[in-house]
Amino acid sequence: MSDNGRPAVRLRMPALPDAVGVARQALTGACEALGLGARATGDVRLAVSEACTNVVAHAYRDRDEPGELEVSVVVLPGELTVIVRDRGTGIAPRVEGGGLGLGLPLIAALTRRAEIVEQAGGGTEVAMTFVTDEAEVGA
Amino acid sequence: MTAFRVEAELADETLAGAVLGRVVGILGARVALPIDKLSDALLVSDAVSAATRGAHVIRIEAGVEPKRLELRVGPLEPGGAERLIGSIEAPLGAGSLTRLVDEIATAGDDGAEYLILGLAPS
Repeated sequence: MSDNGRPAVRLRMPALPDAVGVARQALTGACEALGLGARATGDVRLAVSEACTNVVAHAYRDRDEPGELEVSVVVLPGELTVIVRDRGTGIAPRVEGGGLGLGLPLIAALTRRAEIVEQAGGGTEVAMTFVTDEAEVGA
Repeated sequence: MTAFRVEAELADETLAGAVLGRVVGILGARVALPIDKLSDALLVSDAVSAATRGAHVIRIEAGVEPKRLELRVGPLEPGGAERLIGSIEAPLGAGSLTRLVDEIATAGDDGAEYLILGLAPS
């Protein structure tokens, strides 16, 4: 359980393709430890993969070296919130393409609520909150 | 192969073992640790999680250098690395850590200590 909303887990890593797999695996472990069912775990894995892929693909596209990708996990009664944060130019898809643009709608569909906040100092924070109550999830 | 470093702050003991084990597992696979070494790495990961239980925040870096997996545990108080080795070995037996990893080292930085555990594929 997170104390006073402080993350129970925080991961920092370079925004390289490997980061998506690391985040996905880490969240799978967290869901397992929290006793989430297969359906809820699948939703978390998919949404986190989408958010991290957006960071890897778009957040640092103006730089030669990738910046940081941060994934935080906050656990509260009945809820699990995963925050994916970058310090780059944000996760807006490139105008010239590079995806179908389904990532953010998919995240919205998989979560209880999802918030995207452009940070004052640069970068974007995607906060995804999932239901962890089995009865509500219907796992 | 380029280095890939993950810094994990694991403040919740319920999640720490499961999350660290998964991160160590995927990074171990990335450096092609054979199955016996991967098993050792996961054993060490579980022991590190258990030994650091009760700490509010522990930073653990799983860094992949070419063909090497490294766990850097800290920051610890002076003398903390030696105490942590003792705690890790307690459930496994004295000297067990030296049989599971290829490198045990300590490093100091700004008055803090770090325990470094390295594993290589061969």
